Amino acid sequence: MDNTIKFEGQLSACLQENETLLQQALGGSTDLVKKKLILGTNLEMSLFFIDGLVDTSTLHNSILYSLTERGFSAFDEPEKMDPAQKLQILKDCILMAGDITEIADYDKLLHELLSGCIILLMEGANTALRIALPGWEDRNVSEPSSQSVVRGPMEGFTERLRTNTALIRRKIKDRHLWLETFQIGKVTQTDVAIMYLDNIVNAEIVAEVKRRLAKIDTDSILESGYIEEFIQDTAATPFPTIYNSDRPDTIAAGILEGKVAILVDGTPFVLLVPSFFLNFFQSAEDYYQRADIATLLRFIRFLALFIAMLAPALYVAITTYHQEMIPTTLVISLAAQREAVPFPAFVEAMLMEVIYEVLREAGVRIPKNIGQAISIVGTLVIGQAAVEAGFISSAMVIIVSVTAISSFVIPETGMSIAVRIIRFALMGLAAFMGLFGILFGLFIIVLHLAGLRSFGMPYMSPIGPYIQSDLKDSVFRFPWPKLTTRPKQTEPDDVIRQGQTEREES
Amino acid sequence: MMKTLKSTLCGFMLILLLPALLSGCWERRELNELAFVLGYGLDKEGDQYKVTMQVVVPAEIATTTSKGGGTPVTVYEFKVPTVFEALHKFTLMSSRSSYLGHIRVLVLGEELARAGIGPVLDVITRSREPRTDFFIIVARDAKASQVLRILTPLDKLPANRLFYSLQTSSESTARTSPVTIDKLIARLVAEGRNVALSSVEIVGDRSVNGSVKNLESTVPKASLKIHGLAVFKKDKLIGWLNEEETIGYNYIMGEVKSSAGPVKGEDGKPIVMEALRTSTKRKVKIIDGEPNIYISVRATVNIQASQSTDKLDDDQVIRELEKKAEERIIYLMENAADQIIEKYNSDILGFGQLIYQSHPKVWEKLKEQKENYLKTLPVHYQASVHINRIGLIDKSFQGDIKE
Repeated sequence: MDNTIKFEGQLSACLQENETLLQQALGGSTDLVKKKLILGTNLEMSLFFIDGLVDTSTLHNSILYSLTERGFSAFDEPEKMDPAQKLQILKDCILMAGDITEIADYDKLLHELLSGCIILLMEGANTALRIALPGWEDRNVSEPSSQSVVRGPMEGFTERLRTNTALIRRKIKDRHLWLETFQIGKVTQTDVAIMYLDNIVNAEIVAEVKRRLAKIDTDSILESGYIEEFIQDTAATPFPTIYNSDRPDTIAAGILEGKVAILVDGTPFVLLVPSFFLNFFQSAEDYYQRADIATLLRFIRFLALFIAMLAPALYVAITTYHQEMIPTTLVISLAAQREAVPFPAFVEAMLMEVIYEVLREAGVRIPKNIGQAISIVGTLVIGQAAVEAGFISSAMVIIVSVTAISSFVIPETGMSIAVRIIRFALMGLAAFMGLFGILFGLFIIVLHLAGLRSFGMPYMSPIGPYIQSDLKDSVFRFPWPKLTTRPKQTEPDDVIRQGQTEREES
Repeated sequence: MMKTLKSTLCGFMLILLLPALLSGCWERRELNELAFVLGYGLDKEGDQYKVTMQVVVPAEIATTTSKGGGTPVTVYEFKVPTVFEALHKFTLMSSRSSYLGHIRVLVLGEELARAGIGPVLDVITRSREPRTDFFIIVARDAKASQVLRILTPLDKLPANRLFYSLQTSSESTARTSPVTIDKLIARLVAEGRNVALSSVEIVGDRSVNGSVKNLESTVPKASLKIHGLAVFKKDKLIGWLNEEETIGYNYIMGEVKSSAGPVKGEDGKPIVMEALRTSTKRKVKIIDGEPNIYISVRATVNIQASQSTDKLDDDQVIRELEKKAEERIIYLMENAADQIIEKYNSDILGFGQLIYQSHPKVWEKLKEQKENYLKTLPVHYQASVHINRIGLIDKSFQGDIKE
């Protein structure tokens, strides 16, 4: 194999040469299919495609059919036309396909071939026709798994970029919804698209997104997580500064608020920038349910945040440093439970939290058909046996389970992961310095959060900086007719969402 | 260059913060390393003190692990020259260190109370461990150690039993007056104010001591009864008030949340009324340069029981009853005040403090009369009672019972 051959530059006019070069370029890969055709008297051409990436039934029924049926008559006397003309006729009159373009250079040709296009090479022509006919086995649009709702759309993004952009376009039928596509990843050549509403979005954000995407220099992008890490403002934080979702409605809502969606081919998870701390406590369902319950649920999520972050730490701090804070009856009951426990409260808490994290990780990784066995072992080990064996006290089991349940209340997994990490740090501080340590830790977290930015926008807005009008849909969720302005935190071009809604008098 | 300087400086500052970590784990104690002292008793024995600590045995209290063999509490007693020493002696007798954060009651033996409580209170208020919300109670005709030894049914922790008993009885009957340590000390040092503490007595067979046998019968051989008030002058116990006088005391102090008592109907048979809400206004008026105390009580009451044949549906009868109830409240207050002033001459009613706070100059003059100002101080009592409800029936059916 000669690696010195350059697979770039202009195509040759010689069909034979082009064919050989193409086959060499793919190293004779067996899924490269070549179909030779001779139309009219002696018009030679060949079709190349990658088996599995194109829609073969349409290829047979329309492309090959049209070429053979109609092509014969069109090229009675091929000598009289020059190759460019012939291609033009093929493109305009004969081929029954929508998306056909001419390609002149190799590089582009290979990329198109590998993206699921059919390449038509003709003897004597130094350009090729690229017929877009992608069609591969694909997952159907199905219910999103990561953020499920009771009420709301049940469709989720798929692995296919085009399906995903279509899902968003179906929700926003406006000419201002603009879509731009880039190829990122030197080897994978992954399609990455950004979508935004041109008349709402702050142009600086779009420019910044493009600038950061252009700066990515990597060989592969296999998931939007790659992009997220490349373009986030800082890596030195446990908190996610870029929101992701596999729900088209959530992403559409973000775009409507003047955010930019970043879609990556091959993953259902779409990124949304800029993102703010409070976004991670909002669920799509908040907007479909009545406002009062949505607001209540948001408060419950904040409460869950604190429980998930602080419960074990508070338990450790209070039982080892501040026993006078516990009601007498409870402290005696706790002391009774701890009678037989050999470890300090901190070790006990750490042990349980680690066991829980292990179980949780096992639960995710384990093949589905043996998951049940693990969950039984898990519940028994963590719940009963450990207490009965005197490893831990039963109060600790309650603390760990409450913590575990609470961490699932946070709708976005990135945030609940951050909370899990912080929990361990706070437990350490609590064991070391009691409530003072916890306060110290929280103080640092608040300072850190106040300094975070997402695409240049302050992460904690609308709380810090305080934007009063944004509170109506962040901490609270006002009824829809009251949500007259878009969040100002993204500094959108157009702030007015809707006019005043007159209430029907009855 | 600037940046490296800045980061070095930051690093240096962080190093300066490191010594703060040296205080870590200070006072860290696991729950099962602590002996929770719930009841704390102080007695005088000769020129020494006897300190009694009622310590909970958690394993006996817990619902799941309790085997029911031992006693729920264990009592440690120390004879020490100073109260503080008891804490040190404690570790000699126990594997755990004593923890005073959960004291529910501090019991003072009568002998100690008569000798003066000031010296022993210092150590408790000086220590940072105890909370201030426990009650102080005087053992009547008993030693604190005797009181703390007795096991109680229902509430397994005797100290808890005393605590809640004091709380509920003062809230629902006004027959006790629980005082916490912070209030006690504030009253001890206040101008024109003496203190009164609740008292507890041992009823029944004292020889039962700390034995579990006490709980083996439906009627415990010995039990603890909260009984009236202990009257102090300065920090020394001088006498007792009974329950009726305690109610009067509470009316004067405005500390009645709820109380009940009978008045006589037309036919001389009792009608029981329960006060739902009461409020007391305590005022000082200077008349001819002399201070006069005005105590006025407003009460809303319900009729709870009637043995009388009075027609309770009659407005006139109700007005009569209201008047009688007013008279009864005034009687209770006067009776209590008479006892306190005539017999003990101790200003536990805080009249002196009242004058001091509203008319300091008058108080200065009054103070010259020293102890006896109470005896000449005119006090005017007034009560206004409103009967709110008479219950589900109006006239009692007792008069209609047929042969």
